[in-house]
Amino acid sequence: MKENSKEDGQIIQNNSQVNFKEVLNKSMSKEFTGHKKRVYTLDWNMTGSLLASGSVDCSIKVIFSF
Amino acid sequence: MDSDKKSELKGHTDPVTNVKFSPIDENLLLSCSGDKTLKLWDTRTNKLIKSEKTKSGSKNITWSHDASMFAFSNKDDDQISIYDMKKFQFLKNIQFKNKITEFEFEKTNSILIVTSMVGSLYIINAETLDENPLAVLDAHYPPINTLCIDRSNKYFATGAADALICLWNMNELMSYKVIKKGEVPIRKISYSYDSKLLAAIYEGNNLDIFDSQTTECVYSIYTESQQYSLAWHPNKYVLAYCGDDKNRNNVDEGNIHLLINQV
Repeated sequence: MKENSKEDGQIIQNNSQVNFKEVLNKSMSKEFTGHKKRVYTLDWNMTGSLLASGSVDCSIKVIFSF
Repeated sequence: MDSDKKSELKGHTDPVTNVKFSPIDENLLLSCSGDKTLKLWDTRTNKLIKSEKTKSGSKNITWSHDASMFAFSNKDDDQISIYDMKKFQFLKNIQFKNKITEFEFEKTNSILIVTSMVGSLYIINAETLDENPLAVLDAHYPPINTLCIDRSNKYFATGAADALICLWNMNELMSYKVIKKGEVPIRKISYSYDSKLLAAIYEGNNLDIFDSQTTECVYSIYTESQQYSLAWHPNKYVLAYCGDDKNRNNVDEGNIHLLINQV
């Protein structure tokens, strides 16, 4: 059974061959600064609305995402 | 993505080694640190809810899928402590004869999968938490550095110093595929939300993204410095990673990187 899922404007058909190289080549990069030292760990919350990171600087930063 | 909306949780007095959001509450965060405390935070108010003293600093924490329990390791990497989340109370310690690395609860709480520095997987009964494993699976040439169970709970992957990523079937607890690219130890891996992609960081430079079905490497990022952690967004092809970025003067930059795929 074919299932279509809408992913940010692009329809990805679960059963067909997705060209991941093509898909990922369209990515963009973004950087967030803020921690003063090495960042050891990060995690998204269950909805993906927050990204938390922990650092050698002893702090945890939470970014509001998407 | 609103980069100006950032908040800071202050309280730890030593490096923060791990942060993990609750799998059922989008605003509840657990953290551990070299300061020998576990802290529970509310990210709505940025306030500390609880701080629990532990015997030693921990590097790894993980929630059970229903958030009824959480587990964390000790400084010597030979013990996992389990806590009841609702009562926020110590439940049990599981002692290991060999040093362990990462661990995760299978999503129905039947087992706790633990990877070790001797290259085997320990399968622990998550109901009894008996330290005698239900099974010990030979997996990699040691050590195994990382473990990731996919969202569907059907598969998990392990990455090790032997430069291999093994893909496992959860039902049978058998490895059905191996991803090999190069000779560099795998440091950390993460499944995308749909399990189709597996991202890996290595010792040294580089981050690779593999097609988990074909094992082909579909994307590579050269990272100037060692990265420590990575995580795919829970419902998008967005990958976050962080590490030891330095600027031109060799001073820590404290960056978090995002690879965003929004076509």
